[in-house]
Amino acid sequence: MESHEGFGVSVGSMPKAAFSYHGEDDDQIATVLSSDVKPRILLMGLRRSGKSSIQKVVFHKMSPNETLFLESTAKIFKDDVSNNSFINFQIWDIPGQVDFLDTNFDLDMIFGGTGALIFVVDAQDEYIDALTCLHQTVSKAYRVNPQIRFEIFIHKVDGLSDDHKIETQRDISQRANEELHEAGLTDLHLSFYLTSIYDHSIFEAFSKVVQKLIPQLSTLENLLSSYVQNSMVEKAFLFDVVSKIYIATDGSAVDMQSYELCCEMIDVMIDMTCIYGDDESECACEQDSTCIIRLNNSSILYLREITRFLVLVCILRDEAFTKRGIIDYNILCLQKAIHSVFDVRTKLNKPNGVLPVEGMNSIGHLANSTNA
Amino acid sequence: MDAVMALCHFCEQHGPSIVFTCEKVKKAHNPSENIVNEQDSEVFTEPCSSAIDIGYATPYGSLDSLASNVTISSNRSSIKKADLCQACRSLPEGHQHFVSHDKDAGVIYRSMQHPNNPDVFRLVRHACVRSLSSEVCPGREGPIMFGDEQHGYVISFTFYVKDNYARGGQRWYSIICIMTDRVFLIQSWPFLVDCIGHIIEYLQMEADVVFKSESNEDTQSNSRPRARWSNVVTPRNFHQQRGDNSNARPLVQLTGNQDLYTYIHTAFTWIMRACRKRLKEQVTHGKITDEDLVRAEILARAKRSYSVMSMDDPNVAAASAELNSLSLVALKSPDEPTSPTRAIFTSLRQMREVLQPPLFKAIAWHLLLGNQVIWRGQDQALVSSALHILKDILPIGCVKMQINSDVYVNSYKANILGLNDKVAIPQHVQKQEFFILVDVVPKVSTTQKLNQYYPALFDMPQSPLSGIEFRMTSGCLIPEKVPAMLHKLEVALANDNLSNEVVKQCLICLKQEWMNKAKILYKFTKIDNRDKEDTSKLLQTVLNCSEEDFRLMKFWITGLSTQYKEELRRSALEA
Repeated sequence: MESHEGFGVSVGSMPKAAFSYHGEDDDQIATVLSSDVKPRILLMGLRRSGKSSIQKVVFHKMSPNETLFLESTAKIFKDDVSNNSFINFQIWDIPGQVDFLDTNFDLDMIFGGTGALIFVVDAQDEYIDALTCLHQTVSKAYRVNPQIRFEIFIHKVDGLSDDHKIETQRDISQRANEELHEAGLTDLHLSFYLTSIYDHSIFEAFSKVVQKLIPQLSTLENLLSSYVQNSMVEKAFLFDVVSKIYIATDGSAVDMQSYELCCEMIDVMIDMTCIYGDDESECACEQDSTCIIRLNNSSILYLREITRFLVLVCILRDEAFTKRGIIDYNILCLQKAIHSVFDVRTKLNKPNGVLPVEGMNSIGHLANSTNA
Repeated sequence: MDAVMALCHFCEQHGPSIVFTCEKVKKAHNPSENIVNEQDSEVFTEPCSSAIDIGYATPYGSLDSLASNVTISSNRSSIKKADLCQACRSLPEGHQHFVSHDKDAGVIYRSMQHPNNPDVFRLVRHACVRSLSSEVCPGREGPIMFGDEQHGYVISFTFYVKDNYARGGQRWYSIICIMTDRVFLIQSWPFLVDCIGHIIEYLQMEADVVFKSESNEDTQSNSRPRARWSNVVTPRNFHQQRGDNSNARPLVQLTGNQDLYTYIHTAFTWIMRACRKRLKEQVTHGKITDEDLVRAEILARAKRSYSVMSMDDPNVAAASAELNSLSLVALKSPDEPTSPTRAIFTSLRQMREVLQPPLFKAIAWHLLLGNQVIWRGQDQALVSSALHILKDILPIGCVKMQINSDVYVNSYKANILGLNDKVAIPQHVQKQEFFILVDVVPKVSTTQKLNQYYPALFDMPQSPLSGIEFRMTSGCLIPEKVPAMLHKLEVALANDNLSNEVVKQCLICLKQEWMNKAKILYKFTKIDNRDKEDTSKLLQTVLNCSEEDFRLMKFWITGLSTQYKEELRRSALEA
């Protein structure tokens, strides 16, 4: 696994600041989220830049090749990502042909309860028009709701060479930021991601977008970091099973390759569950599921269920797995901790972007089974 | 109805766009001049081919009356059509529009890409965007209605047209009809949806044929550039084909019909014209009361037997007089000139004052319950005026009036009877208690005499009726409990705050109320043949009636309209 480290493209591009959480930010998000029960992620961009494809691939398991058959989106498509998923929000796929900044549309309604705005730029096309549109959209949205997080997906990078990718991202971010500076919007922060639906980059980028909307992120990260340190695990991800979005990971850098491995492992697990699992259970992940995959480079993928919607996926060395008891015990501790993190929310009964964790009863059962 | 119809398209490049608009324009100036002004040499080379008669399609067969033709003329104010792509553009480069003249109505129907009037354009544009990009139709294809006061009300019918080259294999269109009158639009919904549905069916049928033939060609020959999505896509050719955006095709090409817009224009024109004609607004001031109905029936009966019955029949006379909307004063016999000094009754309130409430109440009570009311006196003008006033208390169907009679008439023939002072009431009638007799006797007093000889001395305002005495003879006493109707009438009359006009309306309402109750009683007793006791109990609880009211209603049943009775009987038979 070491040989692949540093290969990931998007790692460097990911500003570290995106992970850090300030107290005041926390409150802001809470207010944004509580104003509307479901926070919203807007998908905007020029026509044919791949908005509907992203939405279909990430949340509807559409195969990337099939997205070519999609017809153009004529009206805002609102997609609820809440059932059977840990994360609870709405995705609005906004047609690129329609100018929603027109006065005829209620901007407060569109941008009011929005948590994040994803602007998709087609990297294979001339992106000058897209940048103009980006500037207009972002500045307008910022004026309506300054709490929106702006995420720029430089999309369809699968056709570009690695050098070209870096160059494109540099160029786009430079131009976009310059324009914002000229307009005096210095407080407005744009995050850039290189994405493609043909690999896992779109899942990773979406993960980071969603993570920013989870107020408990820093706590979860600290928990995972301490878990990784104490269990001799190389990397740990907390995954939302249904969307394959990871809602948290430990402090170390995310390697694209390992993320892909974990995604595929979840796929394997879901497939196995479909074949051999209990038909009656709705969720893809059975209670107390465990999955171990040994790789030929003496690494091990270890998956454990945390809640009905969340699984923990660890990457560790062969020799570390000899102390499985410690690892399992630590997972149990981690699980309790995560439950109590979300339990606070449930007790405060504050509506927020995160579903109150279900299946609380399973804790006791789980503890018993491990004891036995 | 100011309607605009338009064909809209969700363009791959430009989003929702107006393709074709048809609007009705008032003929402000001579249309022939219009065409001359906007002369374009190319246009007049083919006037015959573009002349279309839309008369044949009118629903009312007014083929000759509608001499209309379609003229293609140039459009002076050209909209920046350079922006429009193939798919957004309807009429070809010549900037033409279609015009149909409706000479009867003095309007023209004009179709073009975009309306010239900026206000209309704004409306259509707004409706177009809403129709294609914001309103959600269940099942995606189909009719919906939306709108508001500001932007007008819209029926929008969205549909797909198949296209080999489009993303998803189909293109997204809608036909919208915009009106400012919401009620009219809703009323026209079945008609409009049906008509628009036919147009869409036609378009889709034609497009299907083209679609199928194109798909066949594609499979047969590989030389032709195939639709993008039918290829096996690898990242390589995906990249190469991306730049090709020019897959937008006009609707004419999709349907393979060169005269498509001519067809759409005539269709829109016909729909708008027929839609305007099929509904007419009529203002009615309230519902027809039963009074009017019965009155009309009496008149109709009188007309049928005109040779037999003379207009002397007071009912007929009164009915016709009222139908001619003459005032209450005119109800008095026309041979007697009315003057304010004459001793006559002019209104119920005045009568109540003159007779004093107890006497008035007694008369009204007898009248309402169907007993005979007899007025006897020398002054026939006074008597008849009193009877005419009293008659208004009853529904017209219950009134059987005889004025100025020289013999006693049975109560079956006349429940309101005016007699000469010489006529005696037969003994057998006097024994009964179902009548009230009012004798009008001149009071001979000193003042009266003096007043007669020296009118100037007694100049003070004096009622002309003050010198007359009214003596009441009745076989029965008025019970404590009177019908609710009488009570309410008395209250209304006693209340000086109410003007005479209000009292009159109040009386009409009261009559209508109790007529309706009588109708229910009729339905229960005569049609359903219900048990009597049971019915009276039921009515007392349901209609909130007392025994007294019940008596009143039993009498009033006789005054119900025959039309209503027949309807009830028929429905009972059918059931």
